[in-house]
Amino acid sequence: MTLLDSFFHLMEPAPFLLMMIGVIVGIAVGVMPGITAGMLMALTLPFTYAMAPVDAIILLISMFVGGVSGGLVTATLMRIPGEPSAIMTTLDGYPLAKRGFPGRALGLGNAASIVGGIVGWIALVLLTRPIADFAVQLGPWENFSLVLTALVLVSSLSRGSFLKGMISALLGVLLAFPGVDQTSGLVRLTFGFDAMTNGFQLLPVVIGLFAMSQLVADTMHVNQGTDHIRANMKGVLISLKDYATHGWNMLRSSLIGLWIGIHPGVGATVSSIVAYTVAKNMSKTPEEFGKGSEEAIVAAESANNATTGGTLIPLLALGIPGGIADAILLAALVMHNLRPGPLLFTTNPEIVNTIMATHLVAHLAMFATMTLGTLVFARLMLIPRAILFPLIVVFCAIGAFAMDGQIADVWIMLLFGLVGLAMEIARFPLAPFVIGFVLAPLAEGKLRSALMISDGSLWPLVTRPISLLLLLVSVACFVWPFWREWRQRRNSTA
Amino acid sequence: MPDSQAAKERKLDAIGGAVVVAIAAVMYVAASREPPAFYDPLGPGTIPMAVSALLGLLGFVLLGRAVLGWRTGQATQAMILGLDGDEQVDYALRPGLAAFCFAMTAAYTVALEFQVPFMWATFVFLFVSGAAMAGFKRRETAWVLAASIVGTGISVYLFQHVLQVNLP
Repeated sequence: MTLLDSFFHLMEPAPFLLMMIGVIVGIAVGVMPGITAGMLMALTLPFTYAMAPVDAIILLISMFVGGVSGGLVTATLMRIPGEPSAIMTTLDGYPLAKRGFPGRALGLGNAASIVGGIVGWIALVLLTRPIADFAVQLGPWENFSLVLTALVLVSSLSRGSFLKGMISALLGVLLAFPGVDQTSGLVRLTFGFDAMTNGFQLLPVVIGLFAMSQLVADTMHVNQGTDHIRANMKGVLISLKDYATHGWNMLRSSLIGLWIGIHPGVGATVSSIVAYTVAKNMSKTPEEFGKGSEEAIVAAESANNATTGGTLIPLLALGIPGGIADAILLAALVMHNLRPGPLLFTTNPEIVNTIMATHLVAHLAMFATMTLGTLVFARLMLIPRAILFPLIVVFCAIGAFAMDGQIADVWIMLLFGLVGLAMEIARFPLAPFVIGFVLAPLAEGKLRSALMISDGSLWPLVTRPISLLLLLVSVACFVWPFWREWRQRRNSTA
Repeated sequence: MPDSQAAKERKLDAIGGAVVVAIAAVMYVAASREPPAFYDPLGPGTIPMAVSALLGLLGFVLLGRAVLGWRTGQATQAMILGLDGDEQVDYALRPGLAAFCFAMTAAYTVALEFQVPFMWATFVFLFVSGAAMAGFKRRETAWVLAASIVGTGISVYLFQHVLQVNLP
């Protein structure tokens, strides 16, 4: 199935309906404060098990696109980021709406989102195949080094603290080990608990980390008011002149979002912050930022949507998830017995092409849905939390249970809900944890199969040029933050 | 940064470092007791041991820095919204309610484990948690009751008949 075939497939009634459901539910969830796209995808994952892989991917990608975009509505009308990535939109979307232009604020954000999405899609189509063609030539040693580099990169790019990022990634790696060892078939690190024989499954871990802990945090904020600005349709559809005025800002912010998205573990929140800052620095009216600047809304929304395309590139080309949503997509592929990574282009091209086609069509559907349905979606913000939150907990519990039919998985979900809360309170980044958890079995499998080939010798790790290069990058990324701090201390004491 | 904030940050780092060292130590000991595999040079325990050792080392560094009074830095990108302790809000936070609802979720899980019918366990969970969030006010509780009945019906229909989940 070629990319064109995938577009035609998407236009058939059943896949199209599935995509629309994904986009609409994604936007709805993005609009509701406290429920994120990652949470929705994690909750949906177990129920996609019975679907054909292509359908599951269509649904999940559409939810991803819809969810990232829906946060705009709550950020603009309530000053609450419906999604973490909409945090910068609150700073200017709400003031602009309060000045009497809610439709204009939503329209600008929506237009910027579609431009960001299209730029991300172009990069996805152009860059993924060449990278995958290169990666397919790599052997197990290079693959192991690549995964190691990705883990160190994820930690070093976690803003704030490399040390905490690295600890988070290693904790994720370590907690992926209990259960049946894939290479020897022996059961390990179960501490005598039969329920641990299958280890910690990805689904309950992800649902616990992102859905349960978010619900607990949301319950703390249950008294938060629901004051909002009434949405109207005036200015929702912006003119071609507006596209021309903001065109350069849209393109620049999209490229920033795309570039940041390609780096594992950084994500849409950071890309919107960086694009916002760059737009402010380059603006002729920086004093307007924070007071309802149109440039600010455009920058933040272009960047966060472009990131969705960027994060898919390492997932498809290398099998390395760029962010949380991609980690869930990776889990979906694994669940359907597909091998994520460069070989997917050869073994299952229909999956790769479906991801690419859905990414574009879902953005177009999102644009149309957001433009026409703004008033309807704005009403979803007002659903009482006392009704919504307990219902989501039931979905979490059944989502964790449904895969293997074991109550133990619900306990694991609750346990990881607490782990997620504790890590966030202690300000350990969560993204490296999940990516470490997902990549650990892959890295271990590559290393051990390579060692069997080399009769237990580790020398090929440093004698093979690409592997050596990747290892040097890892070491440099690992040492750099410590060296930089040591140099700062030395300079300050001198 | 204010002194009280820095002290709180160091305390959290020290606790975090100690927990990480403890986890690494437990996993290292457990991994070292794993038997070797016949044909695999590494066996099932070697890589977990190596990861535990590195994790323990980094945990020590975090703990040491906190004890010495050095700043480590913090993740600035929150994945879970609303846990930022520095955030100024104009309403009362409800950590007690959050703990209660979490305990209710644990109780719901116990009920499912002990074969309480899904429909009844779900209805009681939805109603009690929702009513607690609504502050047990009469009007809101009536709405929660109605929503719990509808929510239970939808859950049973969706999971059992549409998604064909073999409910606990």
